[in-house]
Amino acid sequence: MKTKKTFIKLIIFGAILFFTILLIKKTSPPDTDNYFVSIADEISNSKEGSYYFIGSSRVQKSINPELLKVHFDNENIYNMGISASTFLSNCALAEFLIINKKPKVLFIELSPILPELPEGLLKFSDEVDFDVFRSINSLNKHESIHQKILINLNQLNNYTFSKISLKDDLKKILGLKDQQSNKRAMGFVSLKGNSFNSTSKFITYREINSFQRKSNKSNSHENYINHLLELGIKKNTKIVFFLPITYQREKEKSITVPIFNMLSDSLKIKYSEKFIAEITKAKYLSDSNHFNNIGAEKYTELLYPLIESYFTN
Amino acid sequence: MVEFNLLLIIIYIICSIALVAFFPKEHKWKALLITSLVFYFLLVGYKILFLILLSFIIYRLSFIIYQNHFKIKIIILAILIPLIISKITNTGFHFENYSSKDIQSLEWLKWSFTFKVIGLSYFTFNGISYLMDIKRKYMEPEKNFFLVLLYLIYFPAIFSGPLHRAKYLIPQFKNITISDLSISKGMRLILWGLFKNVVIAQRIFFLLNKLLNSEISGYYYFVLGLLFFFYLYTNFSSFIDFFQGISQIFGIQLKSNFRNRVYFSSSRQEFWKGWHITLNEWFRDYFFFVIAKHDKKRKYTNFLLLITFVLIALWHELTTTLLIWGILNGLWIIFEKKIDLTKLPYPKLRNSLGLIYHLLFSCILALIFISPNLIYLIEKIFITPPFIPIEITHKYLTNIAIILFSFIIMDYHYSKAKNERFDNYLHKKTMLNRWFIYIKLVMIILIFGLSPGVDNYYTLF
Repeated sequence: MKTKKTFIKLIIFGAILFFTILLIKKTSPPDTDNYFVSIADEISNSKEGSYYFIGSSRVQKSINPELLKVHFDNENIYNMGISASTFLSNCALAEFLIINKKPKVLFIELSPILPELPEGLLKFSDEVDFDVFRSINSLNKHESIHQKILINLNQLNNYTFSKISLKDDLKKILGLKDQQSNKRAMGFVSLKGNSFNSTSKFITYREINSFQRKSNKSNSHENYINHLLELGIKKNTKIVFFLPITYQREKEKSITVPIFNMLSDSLKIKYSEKFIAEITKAKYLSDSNHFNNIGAEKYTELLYPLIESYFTN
Repeated sequence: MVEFNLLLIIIYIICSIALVAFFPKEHKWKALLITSLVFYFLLVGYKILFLILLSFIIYRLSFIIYQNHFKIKIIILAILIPLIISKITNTGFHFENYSSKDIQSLEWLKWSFTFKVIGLSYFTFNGISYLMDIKRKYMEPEKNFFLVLLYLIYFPAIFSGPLHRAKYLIPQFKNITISDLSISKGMRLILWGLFKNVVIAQRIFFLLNKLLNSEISGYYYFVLGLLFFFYLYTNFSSFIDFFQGISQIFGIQLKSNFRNRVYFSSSRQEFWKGWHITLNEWFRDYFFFVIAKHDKKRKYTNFLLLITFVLIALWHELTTTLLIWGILNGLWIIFEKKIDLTKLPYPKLRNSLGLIYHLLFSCILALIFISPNLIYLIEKIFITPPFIPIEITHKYLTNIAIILFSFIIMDYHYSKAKNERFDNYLHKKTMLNRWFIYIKLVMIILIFGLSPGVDNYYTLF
């Protein structure tokens, strides 16, 4: 193999790239008002026995914590929805909160599993003492070594890319990056307007009751749920799961609804037929998959009686 | 559906280079066999044993066929059984399956999906090609089973091809060399593939998904067809570029699967000659020619052509929508053959108008390809009043601009490269020019790249 020249060239090229990336990262102005620092502060200062809603952007845009605070006269309610979060990242965040904040109740959205982590969670984990990799490994302790390797490689791959990507830096240099984009990544987001005029993306009451499990073999969802339940018992945290109301893909229902139906009633928020009928209105949607501010208000209000017992007991 | 984790691929390349360097010249292919098996195992799990067993059966059958002891048709049918089962048992609509690539992405590792092995199609096609070539006496059976195994599960080619005859690939396995030139050329293709995949294709797919989940309808719906047409090209061709590059590092040249600028074809015939070339050649050599030889008077050529296109369509998915898609493709080719567009006057004008004509009809076929059923499509285009969600186009204006900007860069290089592969095209440039292009592509990837993995729609099939 005569490859000496190539390796020298690769090293030079790598060095040029490294210094260019470094230069751009150093040139980009620091965040003056880092949203993730403020949300990390808020969570760090939150009291034991608080209430957290964990999930994807659907949770971000559907549960208004301010309304809940007023209704239940409780200041310790947080929307921890993260854009692009799936069940793996939901559970990782839940584990972090159970161990560090000892919440009273965690409401977790049931969604499919994507062996990747959302950018918002990575940024949040940078600001608090949250070892996402350790958390993911403990959630996957029952998976085969083979799957563990793949999951870890995926995390590492995403993590590395998020560190070398220049997308945010360039936006900051060009003055295109606003804190609004960070705010859209985590926590409650209120959207105005309605640009979707159909109710086709809502789950129906019949669908909630029609998908049943086909096999008794445990899967990753159950492993994660059991892990959190065990941890919850140890730390005296109640864990409650709920289904999203809107679905971009039909297939998602066939994955999550059977898991939901398998859970005992005490572990889930059950939507009634009336609940579904009242929320299934196109005017509540901002886009095909998310509520607008009116939808969020309605959904939150409809939740009051379903979650009341967790606040009174 | 698997997204190929870049880190995994980097580890594969490093391990393969290290092992190839360690093995003596005549045994270097064994290093590639080891890494192919290990990394393929990582992606498909223990189901690799099933493919190894199938490879051994193919290997043994090759000797039987060579001695004319067995009917080739029965053997081919037997080899096709796993693929047919996988197609019949395939549930769900392919486009949704692909869009849901995130959902339970590790489920396919489990034994319950025995025939859902990524790469099974290409494995089967190569196996059939190997046996048919032996039957036709184009080559003798390879005596070393492990070389046959490497041919069938060669890591850079198993997921989506390109397809190769054993006669083309096995001699290259015996002559593996890693050199300055092979690494440079390989890296160029990898970089080019990455740029097309993580910037252009992924961004088009993002926009396509947003629009598909909106209430777009009427004649605006054709925009989706156009987006899917360009998406499929950038996604699939980039994946091939990427794995061609990996293979090139070891001095193994995989065949080209796409003609440069095939998206600007001015007729369907021209398009098919430059699209998924190796698969079309496979169907031509191992299906069309086999049945055409029974039609000695050439009376049924068009009909046989139609059957071939139907078969290609049904290979994608066994649904009536794909059946119609295949029939329309076949009829389109037959129509063009009958009227012979090349005889039309004013070649320049013919080419320009041909480009619009081809793009327009390709959009329609692309729409059929990604529609769950025809009634849904007809409703969307003809019954629902025309509507375009302006807020989406406004919201993703930057994304649209990035797609256009990157597409222009890609097309510029292809127009300069003419018929040359990207690595050879760059090789003729001065070093300064080459480095400028490298840095430009890397920076675009780092600034506009969406996710750190290459994917390919065709791994679904």
